[in-house]
Amino acid sequence: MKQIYVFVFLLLAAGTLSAQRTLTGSVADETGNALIGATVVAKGTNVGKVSDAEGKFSLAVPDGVNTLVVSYTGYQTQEVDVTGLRTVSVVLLEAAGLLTELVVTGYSEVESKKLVSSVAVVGAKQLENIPMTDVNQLLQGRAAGVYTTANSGQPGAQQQVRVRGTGSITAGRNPLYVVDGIIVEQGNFSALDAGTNAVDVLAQINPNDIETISVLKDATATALYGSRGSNGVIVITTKRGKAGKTLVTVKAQNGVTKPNFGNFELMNAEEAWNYERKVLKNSGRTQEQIDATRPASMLDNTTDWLDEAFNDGKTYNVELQAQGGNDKTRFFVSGGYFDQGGILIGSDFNRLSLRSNIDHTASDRLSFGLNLNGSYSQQNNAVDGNRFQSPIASAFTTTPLQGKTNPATGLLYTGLEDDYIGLTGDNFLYSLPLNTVDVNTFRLLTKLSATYKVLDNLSFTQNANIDMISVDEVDYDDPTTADGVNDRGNLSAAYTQNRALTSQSLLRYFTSFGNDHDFDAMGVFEYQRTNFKTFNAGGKGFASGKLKTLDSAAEPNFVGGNQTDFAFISYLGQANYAFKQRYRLTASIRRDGSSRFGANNRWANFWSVGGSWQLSDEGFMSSVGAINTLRLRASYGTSGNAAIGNFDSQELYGFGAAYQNEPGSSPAQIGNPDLTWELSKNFNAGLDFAILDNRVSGTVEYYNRKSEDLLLNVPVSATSGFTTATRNLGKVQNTGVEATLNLKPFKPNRAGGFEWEVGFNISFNKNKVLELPDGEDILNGFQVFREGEPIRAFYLRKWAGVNPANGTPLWAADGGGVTGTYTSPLNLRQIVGNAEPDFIAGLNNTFTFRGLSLTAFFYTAQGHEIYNQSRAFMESDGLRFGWAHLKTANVHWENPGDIAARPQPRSGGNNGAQNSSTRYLEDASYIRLRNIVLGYDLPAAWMQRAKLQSVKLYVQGQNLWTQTDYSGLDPEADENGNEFFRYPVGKSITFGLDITF
Amino acid sequence: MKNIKIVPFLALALFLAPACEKDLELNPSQSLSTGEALSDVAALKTALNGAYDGLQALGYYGRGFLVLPETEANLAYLSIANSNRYVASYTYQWTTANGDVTNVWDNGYTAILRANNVINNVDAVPGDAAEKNQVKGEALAIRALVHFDLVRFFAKQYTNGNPSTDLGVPIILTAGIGEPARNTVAEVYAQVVADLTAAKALLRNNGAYRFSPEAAEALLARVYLYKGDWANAEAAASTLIGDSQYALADNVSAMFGGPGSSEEILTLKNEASENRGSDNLGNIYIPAGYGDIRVTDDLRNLYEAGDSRATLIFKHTNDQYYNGKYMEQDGVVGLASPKLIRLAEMYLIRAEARFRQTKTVDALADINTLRTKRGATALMSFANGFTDILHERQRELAFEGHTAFDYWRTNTDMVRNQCGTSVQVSAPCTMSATSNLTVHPIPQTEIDVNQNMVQNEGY
Repeated sequence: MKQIYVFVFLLLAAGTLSAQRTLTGSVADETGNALIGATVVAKGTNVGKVSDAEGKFSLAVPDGVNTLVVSYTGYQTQEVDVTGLRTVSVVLLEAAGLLTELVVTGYSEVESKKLVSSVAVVGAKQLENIPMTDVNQLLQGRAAGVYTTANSGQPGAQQQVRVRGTGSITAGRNPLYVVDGIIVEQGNFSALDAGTNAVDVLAQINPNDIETISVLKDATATALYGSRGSNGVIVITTKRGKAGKTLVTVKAQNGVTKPNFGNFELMNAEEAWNYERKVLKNSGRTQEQIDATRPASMLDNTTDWLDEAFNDGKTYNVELQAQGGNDKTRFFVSGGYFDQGGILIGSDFNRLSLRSNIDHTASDRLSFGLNLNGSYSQQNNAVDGNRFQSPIASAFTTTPLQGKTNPATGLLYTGLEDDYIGLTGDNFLYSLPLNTVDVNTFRLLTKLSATYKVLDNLSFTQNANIDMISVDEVDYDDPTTADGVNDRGNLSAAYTQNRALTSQSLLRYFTSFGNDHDFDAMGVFEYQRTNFKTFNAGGKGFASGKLKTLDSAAEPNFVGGNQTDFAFISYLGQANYAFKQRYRLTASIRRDGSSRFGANNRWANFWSVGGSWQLSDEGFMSSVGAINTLRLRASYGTSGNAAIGNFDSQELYGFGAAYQNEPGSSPAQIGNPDLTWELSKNFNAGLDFAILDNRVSGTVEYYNRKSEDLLLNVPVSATSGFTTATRNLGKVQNTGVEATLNLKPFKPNRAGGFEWEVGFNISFNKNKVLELPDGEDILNGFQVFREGEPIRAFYLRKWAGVNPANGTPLWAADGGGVTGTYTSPLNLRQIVGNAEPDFIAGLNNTFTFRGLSLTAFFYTAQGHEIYNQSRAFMESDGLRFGWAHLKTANVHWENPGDIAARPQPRSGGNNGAQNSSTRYLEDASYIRLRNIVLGYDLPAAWMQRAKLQSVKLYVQGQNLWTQTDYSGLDPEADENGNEFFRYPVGKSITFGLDITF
Repeated sequence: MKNIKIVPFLALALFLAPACEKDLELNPSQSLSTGEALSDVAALKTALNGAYDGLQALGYYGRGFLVLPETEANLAYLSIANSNRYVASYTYQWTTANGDVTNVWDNGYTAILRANNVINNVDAVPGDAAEKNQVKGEALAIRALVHFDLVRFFAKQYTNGNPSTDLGVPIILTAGIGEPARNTVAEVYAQVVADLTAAKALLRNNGAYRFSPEAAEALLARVYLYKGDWANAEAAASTLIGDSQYALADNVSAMFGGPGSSEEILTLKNEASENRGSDNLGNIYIPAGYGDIRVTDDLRNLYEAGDSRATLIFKHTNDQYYNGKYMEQDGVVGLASPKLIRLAEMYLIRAEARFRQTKTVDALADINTLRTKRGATALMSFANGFTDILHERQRELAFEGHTAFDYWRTNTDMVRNQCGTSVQVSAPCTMSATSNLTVHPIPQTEIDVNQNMVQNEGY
């Protein structure tokens, strides 16, 4: 066997055995610094070398070759004529602008000018030093076609990301995340807590460790990810060391976040007291009854609950980064501690993260890389939802007429007292410090990579990756609080472990023939197996809140646990061909098998083709001097969405129901052995251009993405015992136009001169449901899925104002006119809005002068609506008596003839006026100054004296200014467009210092 | 030759590929395929427990179905400061999207599916015949109970309409997804009687927490009463009254302190481990919980001095009166095991059946047996006619899920004497027994997916 390999390689090697001469030289940048690790290749051959620690190389150049090709990441590739030379000094110029950067597409990296697919790239410059917990927050407005929203201001909470619209109704809609080439986990792994504030494991990655983020959008890019690519792919590449002097950077940040409630304003105690007396009076209560229910004495002990619940959150960040190396070994290491206090009391997030990326070149043929990233975070979660202690529900809804302290004792009310009239029966000011929700997450993300060059143009890479997540959490309810009183205190503890193992084998090949033909190809085998395990236990009966362990419980309360698995096996092939570097073609195919799919449909094939044409390199264009780059691109292909439950295809009985403490079982789901992935067909066409000396450059793209065989939880008759069944039915289409524009209105003539750079992107997406089972509507809360309408179409009765005669509500009636009855058929509902914006845009302006720089980043989303359910509760015309009320509720119908926006408030509400209707649907368009940074780089002359590389000081603000007509807390809502007492996003100011030596 | 190093890499890749393809056939760890889950008697017993668990759903006997007949009537009022639960039922502002109504429908049919899977699989599995009979009998009785509850909730009452033409609910006897039309009220009652009769013959007594032949008989007594089949109602009730294993409780407070009283014929047992916290049944009634639903003067005024049942109502520091039937169980606040059928109801059923058959003396004797046991004075006559029996039912069965049904099936208009006070939510003070609003809307979710479903009048 051995002999055969030896023989084959000898044959292949024979091709290079010919006459040659030895050439020595050096590579440096414009300032004379040696470039270490630059690639030097004899043109038209596979003979090449890498420059050493002094930037020097020695190359055996075959006879007849008189040109060297010298390339280095971040620099323009240069061809050097070496006719008759024995030594040569090469000076490389820095690459300018995005257009010549390397774009990482997960399985490979491509020079941006050779890119056929649609990829948005966000570089480290835009990611660095922004005090946010996870990468998704940083993407907002930075990449065309990416729509990011925050539904919660809880530090570390999950963000929602949609790439080129919403492509599915019930299956997952999040993009796939790839870190350093490997598909990784995302989302919430907490077993006890699944609310909107739950921590996202992506928050375990330190944004300052990221070199670039590429968002893959079209078929040629996403087809490589087959059954998991259809929602787009976010490819994160972490920083790696460069050979040269070791650079050490110390970063420090200190900031503060202030609560911000937008246009949302509550009545103070006196206003609420007057309002509720008015409600009683309107309901025909006698003065005596009114005085009894709302006596003046209620004003003696009042509370501004919002003021109590929200305060300034402090942010600290300290970090150390070091990178360097020689021609053999390069390293990047970093360690950081990030601590962000929430604006809501009792909520915060802190993270300790360590990273080391090492690359070693063992020989001309063999190289290794090891990435190690370990991080540990602690989140104190301001639980939302139905828990008594939730400060979110309590702060917004508790009446200001309730004092926080009990006048009889001078102590805080617990909420259990008979005279406590707060809605939830719990005073969060008392219970929150006692009842804790701690979520501790550890994530280890590590990858070993080995590459062996079989031939100069054939390499084999084996990657092995471990993504290990463990979550350890403890919930405690003190015996003296409403949540704990029944159990005399209770504690729940859970431990969860998620393990994803990936093996990836890649074979890469490239060749050129003639002068004009370049060809490369890649074959990949990938295997991923994921196991999720959790167990939890609870105890009750606690003597003291200081003993937060299960051992301290008087008796056990519950014990539970489960585990689940899934696996993917994939084969992937891709080929690229270029003619004269002007015409490019690419084609790919991927075959995926998944344990999630039904037995009848376990394997899927996905494919794509694409091409590009570099017009600007054509002879007929050379006369048009103003045009630097002009390139047309187009692609078509398929990808899939496999984001469904692990066992959705099986008909199952579940165990967990119990009667008389004996085990019980019940049908858990209706099976469907045909169940399979959703299929997405994508067309993309784009134009890249750069004109006027590259001072104006950009991209315009059109796409049409059709998702078919949607995995739908189709509603079925409840007489079956189920309300939904999962089937592959339905089609959704997203079409859109995206534009990115980079301008350099002012370019300095000399170093340090005034410079102005503008980055702008805008994305229009039109979403439409094309097909539903039997063409029937599917109701979705305040929305409906209906053929021909967008996925997030609001479906509500139309509010027709207030009857001036008697102050009762009116709605639009059937066949025109108005009606005062809400209970008439609900099919009077109409499509009245869309929760997804017509367009989103980001505008970044950077001004630099001498060491000073000012960057202002605006973000806007326009043309979407939010159903303001918080307002439906707090402006409910007397229905929610004894709650807090919005200030606006006070303006209402009073006398016959009044044209009023709000009906007369009455006890029990006014004829159901608070029922869902367009009364609470609002335009939520907004413009926000998302980020503004003022920075100062200390002069280089000082640095040399101080023996430092650089010192940078900066101050930056987040969300400092917002323009919106929306009356609620924040116009930025998740895709459901439903605002319901959420954790608001604050405004923050941060000071920072970077020192590099 | 350095190139040899490629061999281990290629080997790694080539051997890994086929080795992991079997990994695509993974199975869950918490669930079994339906075939495996129903393969023997033990498995069917487990599935039967699942059916009982279905009855305990929050929207059904967990709380909703027991509370709605009270908030729709006059013995309880909804406090003006409330957690926004059951407002539509108290104010009669029904929409077809009402969650409480939808839950009764969904939870009911879920329980029926669980029972059907037992009934339709039990004959084929190996096992002891007596055990199989017991499992099948309990499942049949559960199926009957749910169909009966659905028909009296979603259709006109048998005794207050035209049962042979009035639309009832779909009768579901097998598993599967379909778009069934509504059977008539008479057809549903016929199925209920058939299932209960079959169940009675198969069952043996396993205590009050599961269906026994006695429980099936007692449920039949109630079904006959709702049908106006007075003779059968009297006969069935008499069987229970004559059964020495049941006796009226000596102390009502003790009876409502937890399950296990001598009166109980069928009780849905809730264990401490099934604690739902604030959603425990009792917490909707008591100040320690939501305390939204409180006791009206209408009910308090029904009790004379000495009537022990009045002690189940308590006055709180805010001078409001609360229902004390579901205070706590096993030390868990608000936890309760609802007594679905108890002996006192049999006396009331027989009294009503006898009254309707003009056996007035016997009817009076039944009422007085109960009154005397409860410390109230014996009635000399039915001075107010049937109203005396209705009031006795209210004194005895208040907050046990009967009140509104009793008005509608007897075609008695509901009048809230305590109405419009400052402590309660504004709501209609009267409701005609023939109003469309006394019949609940078929849930919109069902109308949307079932082409054969017909909505009730007025929605």
